[in-house]
Amino acid sequence: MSIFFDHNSTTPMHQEVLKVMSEIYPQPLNSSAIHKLGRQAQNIVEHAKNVIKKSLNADNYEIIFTSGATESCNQVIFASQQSQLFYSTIEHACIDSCKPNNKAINYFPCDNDGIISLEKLDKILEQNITKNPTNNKDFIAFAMLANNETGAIQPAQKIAQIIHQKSGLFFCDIVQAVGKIKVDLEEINADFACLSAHKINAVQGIGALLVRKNIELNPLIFGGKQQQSKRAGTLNIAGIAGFAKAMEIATNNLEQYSKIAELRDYMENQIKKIAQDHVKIFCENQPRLANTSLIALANCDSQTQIINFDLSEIYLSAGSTCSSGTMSQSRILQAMNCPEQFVNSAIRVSLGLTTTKTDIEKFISVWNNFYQQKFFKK
Amino acid sequence: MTLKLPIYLDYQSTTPVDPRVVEAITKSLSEDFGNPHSRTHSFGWKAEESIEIARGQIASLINADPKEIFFTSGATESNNIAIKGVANFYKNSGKNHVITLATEHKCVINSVRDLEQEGFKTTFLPVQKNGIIDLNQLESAINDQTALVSVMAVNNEIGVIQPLKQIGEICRKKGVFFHSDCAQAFGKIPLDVNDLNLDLMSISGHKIYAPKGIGAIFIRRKPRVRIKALFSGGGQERQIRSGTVPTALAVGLGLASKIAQEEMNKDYQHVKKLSDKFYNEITKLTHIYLNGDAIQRYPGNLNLSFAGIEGESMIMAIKDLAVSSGSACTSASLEPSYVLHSLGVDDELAHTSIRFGFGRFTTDEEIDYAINLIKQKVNRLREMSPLWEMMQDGIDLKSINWKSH
Repeated sequence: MSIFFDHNSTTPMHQEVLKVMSEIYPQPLNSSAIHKLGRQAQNIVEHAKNVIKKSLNADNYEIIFTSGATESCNQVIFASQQSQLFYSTIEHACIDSCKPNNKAINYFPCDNDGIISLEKLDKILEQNITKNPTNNKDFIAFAMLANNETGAIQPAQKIAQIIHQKSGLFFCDIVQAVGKIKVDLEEINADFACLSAHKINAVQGIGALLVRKNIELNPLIFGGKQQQSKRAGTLNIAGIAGFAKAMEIATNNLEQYSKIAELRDYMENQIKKIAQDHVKIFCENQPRLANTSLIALANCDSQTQIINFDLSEIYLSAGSTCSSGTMSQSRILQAMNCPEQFVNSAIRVSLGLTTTKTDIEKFISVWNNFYQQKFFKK
Repeated sequence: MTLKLPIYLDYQSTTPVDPRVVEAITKSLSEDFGNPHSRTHSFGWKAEESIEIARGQIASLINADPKEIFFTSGATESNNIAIKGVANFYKNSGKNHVITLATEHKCVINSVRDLEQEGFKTTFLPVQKNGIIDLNQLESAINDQTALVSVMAVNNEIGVIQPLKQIGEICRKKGVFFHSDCAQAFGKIPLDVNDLNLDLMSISGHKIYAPKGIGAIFIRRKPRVRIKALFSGGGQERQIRSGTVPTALAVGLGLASKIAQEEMNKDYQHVKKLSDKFYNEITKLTHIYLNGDAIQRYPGNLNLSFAGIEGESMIMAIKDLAVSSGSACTSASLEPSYVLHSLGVDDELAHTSIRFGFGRFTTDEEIDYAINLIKQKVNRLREMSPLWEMMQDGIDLKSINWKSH
């Protein structure tokens, strides 16, 4: 039996989500149509919006359905009115790699523990903001709620406070956090947030952008007048219905999800017992997602480790999937000033609700064999 | 057998997913759920393999190389990528002019309008009365600064087919890139990117019995067309389109393309038979006008104007038929269609225009039902209509000076 330990990359479909989608696919539903089927499609979309708003305490937000989180981030970066952007150094590639020619970008770092530094954020905003007389909000700052590689949960609420004090807008990437921890957008006080369906057991190709009401945003994709002219293109009705179902299931199951931490902690403890100083677990003592563990084995190339696991049918990745295959060093670990011997030797283990103790035991055993071979056999 | 109402005659707006495609998607969703960009494990490889098969199936339908096909979220996004992507990439080499048709889909028009805002020069070519481009006008509109010509294959509102081959020849001769929005044509009529000299083509999934949320763009490699990407991010799809490729949706589009290729003739004959029957029967009522060229058209799209009737009352009267008046994208607003306006159709006739769309799953019984319903309702509405009475009396409605109350 193969073991999938790469749930931060994508997740298997939930059977109930699949059922919802399969029922919709045979129907020609276009929410722009004026006939009965068009209204039926509109009802599905409205229902989905209500479910999502309820799940995230987001009544004061407008929901724009997109093709996924990448598009959601791109829209805010490229189509917002603000010309000053601030990115944390641990953001996902879909934010980090966006560099519009006509906007100024500055970065704010995390500390060595993988948590965004509030002090430095404050200082960097102070030093770099140029007041813009035409906008009452001068800039947008981007900070994720939970990091995709380390799982470290960021002090989003405090980050929001600092950003708002300086009269900016706060974009919070909640992709990895949703379904894993409680996410309350009012409490976080984000102005924008992005979502991805395939990280919560729904289909790839659908996501959303949440925008606090009354914040102006232009479209990135032009065309018909769908979604109040904020995002052209026929709405993906089946995908949206499945997405809402997945949100409902995921956000009602957080207690169960938090129990994954028991398996994760057991795994980490066993590994530390085996390898002691040769192993480093990132953000171990920080608030973390229950399912995520970023484990480095000194001076052992990540790819070699991954291939070894693959041979035993355990599937995981070196960090963010988007960059996998490109072999570039982890930006996140660099941002954390990771010690030299660990920087290229991390693997990301991301567990799921279906992970069992047996899976964990198998993982530990394969890890142990690899470790013994690397460190003690000639 | 009782018919299921409303009868769906809106295949240009969207199509039901073909049961074979639903099966393939469901299978893919349950089996290869991996992230296709996970290079490090076989879940990812399997997903990637499925995507590559789909890419090949799409390429095969238009005689392209699989490496020239990139997945997007749909034709709207593909059109945005093609138009803004080419214009923005080549603007540094002194090209700052884009040409398109006044009757293009809104997403082409608005992409070009957005370029206008950014300082590009644009030309919206008018069409002839039959909805077809005037090739001489196109040729004289192209100048040294022209980067791109974008002309759709089949019009979404009126179904006319533009002469892509001749347009392709002109563009190649003049050395400008040629893009075509083929959302309504792909899988329905033969399209060969080499024969047509196409440099870019936009493709939609949900118009050919695949799901919504997936589309593709063809971008020629030889001679190479370069674009500035619309999204930044993980650099998937060879930097053309960042974002996780949705495996199951891509599989669905691939299979739908394969079916469309294998069954194109059958589908076409089926649609043509139904469309001819419908048209011949409906035009037995007088004063019914077909919008757009009668010959150069895709038969699955009949846009008819009913003189002597109000548009809204007609829609209400035939609410057992799921149809559109004007393009579905703009139909939520009841403004008269800009496409019909470009053809020079009178406002009154534009207001009573209805698009009837036929497809793979339309049956003979449905067409018979639709014909009877329309005949009955049109006669009744005309009996009640003072406009119709005046027309019967030979009064030219345009000569009347309508006073507002």
